[in-house]
Amino acid sequence: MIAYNTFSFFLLYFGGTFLLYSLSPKKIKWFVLLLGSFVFYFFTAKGHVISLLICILISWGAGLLIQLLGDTMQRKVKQVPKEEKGKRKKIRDRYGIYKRCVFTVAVVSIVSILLVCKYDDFFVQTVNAIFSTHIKPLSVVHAVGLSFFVLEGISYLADIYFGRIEAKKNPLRIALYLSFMLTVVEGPVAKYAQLGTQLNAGKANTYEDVSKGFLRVIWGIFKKVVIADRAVMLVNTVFDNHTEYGGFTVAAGIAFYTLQLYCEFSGVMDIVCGLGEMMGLQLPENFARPFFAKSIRDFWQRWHITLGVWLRDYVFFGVSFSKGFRKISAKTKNRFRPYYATLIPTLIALFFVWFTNGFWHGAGWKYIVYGLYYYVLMALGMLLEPLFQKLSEKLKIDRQTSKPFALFRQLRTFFIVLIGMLIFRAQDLKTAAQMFRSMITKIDFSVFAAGHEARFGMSLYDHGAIAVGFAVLLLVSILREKGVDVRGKIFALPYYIKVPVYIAALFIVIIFGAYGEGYGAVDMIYANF
Amino acid sequence: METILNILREINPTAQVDETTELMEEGVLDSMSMVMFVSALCNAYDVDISLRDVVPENFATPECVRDFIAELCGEEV
Repeated sequence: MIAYNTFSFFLLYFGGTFLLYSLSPKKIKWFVLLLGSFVFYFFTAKGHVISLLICILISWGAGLLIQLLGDTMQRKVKQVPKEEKGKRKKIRDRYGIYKRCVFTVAVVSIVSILLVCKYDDFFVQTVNAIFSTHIKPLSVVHAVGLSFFVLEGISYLADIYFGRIEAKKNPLRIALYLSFMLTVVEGPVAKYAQLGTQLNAGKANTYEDVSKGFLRVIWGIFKKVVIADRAVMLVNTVFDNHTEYGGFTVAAGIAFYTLQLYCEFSGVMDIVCGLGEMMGLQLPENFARPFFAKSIRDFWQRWHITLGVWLRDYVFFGVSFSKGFRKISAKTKNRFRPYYATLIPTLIALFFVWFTNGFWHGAGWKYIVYGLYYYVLMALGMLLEPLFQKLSEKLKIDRQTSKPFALFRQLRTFFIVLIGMLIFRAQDLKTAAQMFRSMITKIDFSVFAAGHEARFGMSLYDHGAIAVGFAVLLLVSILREKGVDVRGKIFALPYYIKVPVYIAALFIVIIFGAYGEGYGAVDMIYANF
Repeated sequence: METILNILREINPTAQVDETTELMEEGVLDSMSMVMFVSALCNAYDVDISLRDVVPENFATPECVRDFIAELCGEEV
């Protein structure tokens, strides 16, 4: 796979596309992006493009059909006089069923691509384990970016179905939206209205776009190569030899993994959003300083935001507003107190959200448990809310304004997230449980011990680079949390200061990045999902 | 109107709500509490609200909600 922070990506793929895109007339800009994206995808996916092509064809064909049925329904309803309400309703109902059928078949087909390519091993292994059979999995190639373009294909169809956008007649326009080189590998998961329209509009890029975008790219590379690619050494040592460690060393391994994952994923997002900005495109944000979150809900509104938005709009709302669900809601009405009568249906809908969240991340039980871990904690918080309310009144804690209480909430959320990361990174659930136990029961401070080996393959220089990198990251995060536009301020500096700042930023990344012998660049973790 | 305000206060006890409060912009409702709110409205007024109805025009303020519910019920609420 071609990583976004490599020279081959910048020179061979983005560089050429960017130059042609900037120089080409408005009318053909979208086509330049499409060509560049297809060439990039073909080589990064090593020719395995069938899944993407099928997804494009289904999205295009079914989208057009849903649109056609919707338009026909409107035309036929208008032909019937307003007084004949029954007849108008019949037309609406009939075409509503047609639309629903097309939509359902198309979504099931797209999801099937995902299930066959990504989950067939998991399903076959589960069946073999339960029924003691020896069925062989299909072992279909897991195409690059499969989990991302599948979500976008479904969102495109759902938005047409609900009348939010109009279907595109030209399949190449859908192809560009689903295969765009900056989003196809790791997201962000964008809706057609957010991304597709911009890509197809062929907007010109300005000096400010290029300048600000470039700075964000450097920032993203900094997070990835200075912090993530170093933290991985300690993380792999602790997780791969977990039986040898315990106590504080395991805790440090989990904390470093959290830092690694955040810097890797958000770093790549900074790179792709920055490159997008350089072309005058605004990609949706995927991170908003998640470790400042005061609750799990808040955390997931700041971490992998576009996945959360997708799950909210297409799973949570889809389930919550379905007819079957309304019946459940009506049944709870008379059986529970008003707060719980409305909460219980919400909790049922949330189960689907968190199950999908976990299962989307990977074909394994640990991922399902990872999703449900957050679900159980969130559900408990919501169920016990009236009790917390009474308790805080008795203790005279103002939950909205109390600063110590806010700090407590922030630390509590951070701890919950760390345990979630342990489940996410550990080889399997058994390992996660063992590591959690040894973290609590064993005393191990070897992470602080002197000596090269005790430093987990990291030199003092590596430790220093991570510490300085983390300090810079924290400072910038605090400033941004307070609403300071750091990049805007740098851009506004006079040339004689701005140019040295840019050059210094570039050299910091080159000098302090983890390259060469002894280092292993972190794979783009989310590209494997 | 009082029923709508009471439902909102029950869902978000800490929020200050009156007829003109911007429900989404002022953080009274988020996606999850919106579903709870819609569910409570359906129960209270015996109406059916679909996903297509959940748009800013209908849910921006308690006043908008009142007008929307009145339209569904066919009478003032």
